[in-house]
Amino acid sequence: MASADVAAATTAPSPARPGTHRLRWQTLPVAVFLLALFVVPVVTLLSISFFDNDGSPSLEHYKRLVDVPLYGKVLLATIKVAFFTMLFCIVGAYPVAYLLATSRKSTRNWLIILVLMPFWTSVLVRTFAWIVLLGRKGAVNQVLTAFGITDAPVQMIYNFTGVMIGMTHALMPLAVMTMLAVMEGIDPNLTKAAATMGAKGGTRFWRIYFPLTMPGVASAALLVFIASLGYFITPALLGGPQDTMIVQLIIFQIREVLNWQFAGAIGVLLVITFMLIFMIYDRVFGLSVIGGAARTASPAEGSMIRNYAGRVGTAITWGLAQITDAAITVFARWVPARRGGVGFSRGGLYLVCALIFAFIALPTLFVVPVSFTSEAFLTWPPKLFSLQWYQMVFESPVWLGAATRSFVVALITASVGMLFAVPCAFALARDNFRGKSALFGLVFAPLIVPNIFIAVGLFFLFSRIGIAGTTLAVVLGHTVIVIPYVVVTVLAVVKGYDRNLDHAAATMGASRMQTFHRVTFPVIRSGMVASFMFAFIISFDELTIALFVTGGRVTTLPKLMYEDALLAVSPRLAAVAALLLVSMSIVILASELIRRKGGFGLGTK
Amino acid sequence: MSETTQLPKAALSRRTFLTVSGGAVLATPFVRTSSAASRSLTIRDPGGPVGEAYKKAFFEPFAKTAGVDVIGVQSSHGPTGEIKAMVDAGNYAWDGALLDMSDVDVLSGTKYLETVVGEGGLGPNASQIPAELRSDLLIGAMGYATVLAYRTDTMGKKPPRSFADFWNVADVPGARSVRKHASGTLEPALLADGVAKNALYPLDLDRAFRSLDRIKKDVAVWWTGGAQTSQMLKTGEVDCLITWNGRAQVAIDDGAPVKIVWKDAMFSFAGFAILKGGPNVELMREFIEFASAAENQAEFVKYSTSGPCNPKSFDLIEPKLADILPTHPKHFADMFVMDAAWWGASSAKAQERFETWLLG
Repeated sequence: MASADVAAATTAPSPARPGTHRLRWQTLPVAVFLLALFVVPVVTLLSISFFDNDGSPSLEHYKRLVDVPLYGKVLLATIKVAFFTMLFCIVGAYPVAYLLATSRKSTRNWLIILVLMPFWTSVLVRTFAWIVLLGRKGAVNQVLTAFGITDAPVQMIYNFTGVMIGMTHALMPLAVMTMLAVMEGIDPNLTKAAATMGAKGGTRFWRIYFPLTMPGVASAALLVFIASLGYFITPALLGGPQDTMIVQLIIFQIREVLNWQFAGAIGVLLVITFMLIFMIYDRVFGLSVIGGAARTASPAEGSMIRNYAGRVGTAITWGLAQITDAAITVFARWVPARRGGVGFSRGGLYLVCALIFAFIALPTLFVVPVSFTSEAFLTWPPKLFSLQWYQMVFESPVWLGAATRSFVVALITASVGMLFAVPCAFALARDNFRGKSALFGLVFAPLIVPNIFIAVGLFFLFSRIGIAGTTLAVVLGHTVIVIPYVVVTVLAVVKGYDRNLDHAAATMGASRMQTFHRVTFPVIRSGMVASFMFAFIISFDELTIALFVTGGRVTTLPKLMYEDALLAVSPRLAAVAALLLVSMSIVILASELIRRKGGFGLGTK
Repeated sequence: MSETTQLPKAALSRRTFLTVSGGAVLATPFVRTSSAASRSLTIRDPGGPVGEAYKKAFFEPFAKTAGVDVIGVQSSHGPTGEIKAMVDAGNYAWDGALLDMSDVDVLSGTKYLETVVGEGGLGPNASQIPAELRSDLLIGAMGYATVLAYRTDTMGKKPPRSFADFWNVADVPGARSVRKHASGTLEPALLADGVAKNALYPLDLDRAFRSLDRIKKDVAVWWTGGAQTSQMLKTGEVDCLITWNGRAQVAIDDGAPVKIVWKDAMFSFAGFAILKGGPNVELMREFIEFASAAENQAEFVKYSTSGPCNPKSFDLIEPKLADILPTHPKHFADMFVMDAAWWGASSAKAQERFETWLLG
């Protein structure tokens, strides 16, 4: 569907078209919404960091940040965790996304269920699953010792490795889905064309396919990196003494010592750090990689670095292509490809993906047998067989009520988020207008600011207008945090969409609505569905905002799961997780069936 | 600082959450007016597995006696942030809250909380509670202990009998776990170093961290959530650890070979407090007097492993159950009460130093 000008669009800002230098109306709803429900409450809250605890203007909190080495060190440790999580997620997710993008639709839908599996179980359940699997007396060590592979238990968690395992596992689905949205839009004929011109497998992949996937890789990297910065539960449970994340320090100040001024100062530090990283990212890759050049077409200072980076990138891909081609030639001598069989490189891909799928699915599948245990803890092997934990869930109006509420909240949040963010993403991807960079920053900002600040800020705002403690408050709060995810994923898709299709439709006499409905939408549909699902999942799994803006009056599923996990690691959590897993898989399969009958569906083109 | 840690006995836990206003949860309207000065109370509890206990022991009986509605709302996190936000915003989603004694000092005393003692002075029930387990802002309703717990199967031959033994890895071998938090960790460090329990406060931070230096490399797991410790005791991930008595009891109730050492344990209590300036202060005071009664605190124990703060409750509790409660006189005599005032003033500094020490 895409054509070669995608490649051009990723490296050069699209030329300004006439009439594009005014503010786009499509961006107004998002801008107004975020200004009112994000900027105002959060800036109000953070600004108290510039006052001392008696209320007079002061920089004492910032002085403390500089004077006490702890905060700088923890910030660096946090960035390190986020960076390596990003790295492992991209490396692991790329082959999986590639496999998905190049599989038959029916296969792909099954695989998508597998990839999304971790998302349907609360982050706490997954973390405890890793503890039970990888602990000193865990399932893996039991196997290793039983087979005499190791004498003493291997230390796999309570260190940096544990943090990486937990975080990569938690965020890899995000990376896969973001990259998949872009890869699905790549025309397979391009690599075929290269093949007819004599390009070998390595060259075809590294010189043609890989550069086309860069927008997906870049957005996935950015999303994973930012999301990692805000993680704290997983590192706290799986890490060692040195794996403290900066958000933990903020939460300590907010919740335990009530020094909101100092918490605000740490928040400002985090935001500034992130903006610096964002600027470096822009200089090296260019925000245009994610979609829509943030800066205007003028050859600004940054472009020199970017050109340089571009040249380095080209050199690297060329080198990789040569190495891969050489390797394929060498190995082909040893393992001759059978006619009609699976090609050599495809076989390798299957093997790698099988391992990654095992990594993704293992802790999730683990909850199924454990949910039938007759003991009061998550243990391996479970003592079977009991249905008590399921009985507890089904007999409890609280759990059923919370599940229903979370589902409804997530559905509304995702719909409203899409309604706001999709038009904005189109404008950002396609048009140049004044204030575009500012809008970019505004849309990304909720990602950067830790949720706890959004939660507290919104509580004050909602109290004033009298909606604190309602379901509406949760929906509004969640909409704020899903908007960036929707914009980024939709941007990546729209960016990969060949506008010549629209022009072609227009020359055939199609109206703008007809063009969108009949031409544009069918192509970008799968990306939109993926984006909707992100929004849904993020809202469905969100805890901090739900806790704060409701004052505990409205109970959501993550809140119940969190309480259960903090106060007792009961197998009821496993039962809930298993139920979610089954019901969500049914929803996805049902949507696939409807699609086959001509309706909407997942992963269609 | 430490969360309230009442835990269910496993046998009872199964029925403890057929809870709240099931249908009402679903039917909560989208827009709600803030709690008006009607004859109804909204009180925060930590929820979780013992959520039912607050209802059965306190909320429902009071509703019946006083002829008012009592709505329990659950927030598991340290509730001080919410209380500050509510009082600052003048939006009283809660009238009162179950708070840890240390929360009171975090809320800087009377800035966010009303005194629980009205014009009539301390009520007859509240007067039965020992002075060290109550203050003007909080009357102890239940208490728990930070204890040493160990696996009898792996450490049975050479069990740790004190924090000094816990620190002595060479003579009392076994994998250890300590909370990744200054509170409840600095005290054992000082006790292990030979400080007497009645001479702990104000804590000598230099000495505490020197003591922690000695054990740092031998701590296999720095835990963050209490449930983690029950899990570790149950699976044998570590052989001994410092945790709350309820956490260890859950593992024991589920058949794990675990023993609790009560000697030199640190005692903390929780109770109901009143949000400053709320619409139902007087009614909350009535409720708190009610919650101080021996029979209500004894009822609570049926669902939880926290000890009652009213000593007369023990007349109503069967001996076998009384044995595992931290306020049982035979355990309580060996403990010390955490100095919440010291922690309220020093928590930020101590925790900052603790985090720095962990990194170093």
